[in-house]
Amino acid sequence: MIRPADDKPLAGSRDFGIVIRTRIEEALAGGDDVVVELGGLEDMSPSFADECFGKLSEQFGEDVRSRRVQVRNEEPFRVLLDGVIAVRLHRAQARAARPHASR
Amino acid sequence: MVTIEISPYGLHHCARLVAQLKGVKPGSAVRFDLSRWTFVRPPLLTIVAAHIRNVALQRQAGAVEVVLPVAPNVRNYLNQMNFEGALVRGEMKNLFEISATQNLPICPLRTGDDTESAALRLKQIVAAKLTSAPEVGQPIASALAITLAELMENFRKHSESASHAFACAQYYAEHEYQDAGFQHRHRQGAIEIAIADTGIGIEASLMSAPELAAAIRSGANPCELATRFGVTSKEGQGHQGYGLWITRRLAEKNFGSFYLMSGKHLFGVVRGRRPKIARLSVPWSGTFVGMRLNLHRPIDIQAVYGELPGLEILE
Repeated sequence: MIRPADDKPLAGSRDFGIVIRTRIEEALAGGDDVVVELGGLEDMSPSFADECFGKLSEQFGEDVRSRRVQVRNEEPFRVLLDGVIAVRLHRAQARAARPHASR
Repeated sequence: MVTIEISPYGLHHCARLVAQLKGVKPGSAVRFDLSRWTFVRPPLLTIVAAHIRNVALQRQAGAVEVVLPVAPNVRNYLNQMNFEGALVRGEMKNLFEISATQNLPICPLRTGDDTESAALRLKQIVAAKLTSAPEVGQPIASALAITLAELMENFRKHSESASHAFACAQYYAEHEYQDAGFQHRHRQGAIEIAIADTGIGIEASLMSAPELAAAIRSGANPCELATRFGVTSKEGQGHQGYGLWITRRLAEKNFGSFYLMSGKHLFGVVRGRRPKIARLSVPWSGTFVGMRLNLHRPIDIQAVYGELPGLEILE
């Protein structure tokens, strides 16, 4: 189980998002299903949410929460997570539809 | 030694600071004269701190002198705000040991830990002021903490400055003042957040993205552009452009105010109303963001998040 609140109470930076995403990726690479426990987190910023859950969803091509990553106690952050994941997936789909775009 | 006089009155007087600095020869000794300050607020504090730090980095030790204000109340305020510590030693006070409950001291923005510590401390300050209605106060405190964290991260990631940005915040119990031609009144409390740097500026940052460069060449105000959802010069490096958009939307919904100043450009929202776009008489070195929110009005960041899935993204 990965519990960001064990590191700090406020997930407010992309740097911390990279830390948690890396832990999730390493656990998945090891063949494990992953539980991310958000209980204890006071707040989460969009940058953290995007860096962690948004990018993971983009890697999988779908909402990361629908696969092997179970997110517990996400209710306080659900609207944020839904939003950043939707944005990542929308952008990925738009890029895929324009393979010769400059970015 | 060149003396730079800094008036404390209003953001537009910062143009005089910038103009004076442009006339200083590289390497010459500089004295920043703050002696006539009778009051100061977070916006000017962060702007002055960023410029003093930047000038000091370009010179040998001892070549920069700061003449502190004579007025005891202002000196006390600067001490509370860690003005000298942030400038001279580049340090953050241990935010969780300070007794002051009105202010978030000047924080140099060096690491993600700096961001998160400052945001958490701001949350504590705001929550302590809104104890009469914690079911309302806690979400407001969280929204402000997240907004500060997002803005700080913006500066950390995009500044490309040899120096770092500075941030601070202040709570006002009840406050009325005039700034930039507008009369501001805050009843039942307000929070002011300010962040400044002397980095490459918004325009230079956005010009690295081809579609944004095209919009700017066509006449778009870079500061207004930067507040639109999804606008970032670093989308290819994993950024998504949330910080300034969230800040703008919160100010609009709160009938608060928000200013973004960089280079020749100013963009602002005052009392949540029709945006103010302007060109500055003296180009501004770096970027400044200021925000004032009314604590008796909604500061609903969840409502802003709810707008995300349906938004058109500038491509």
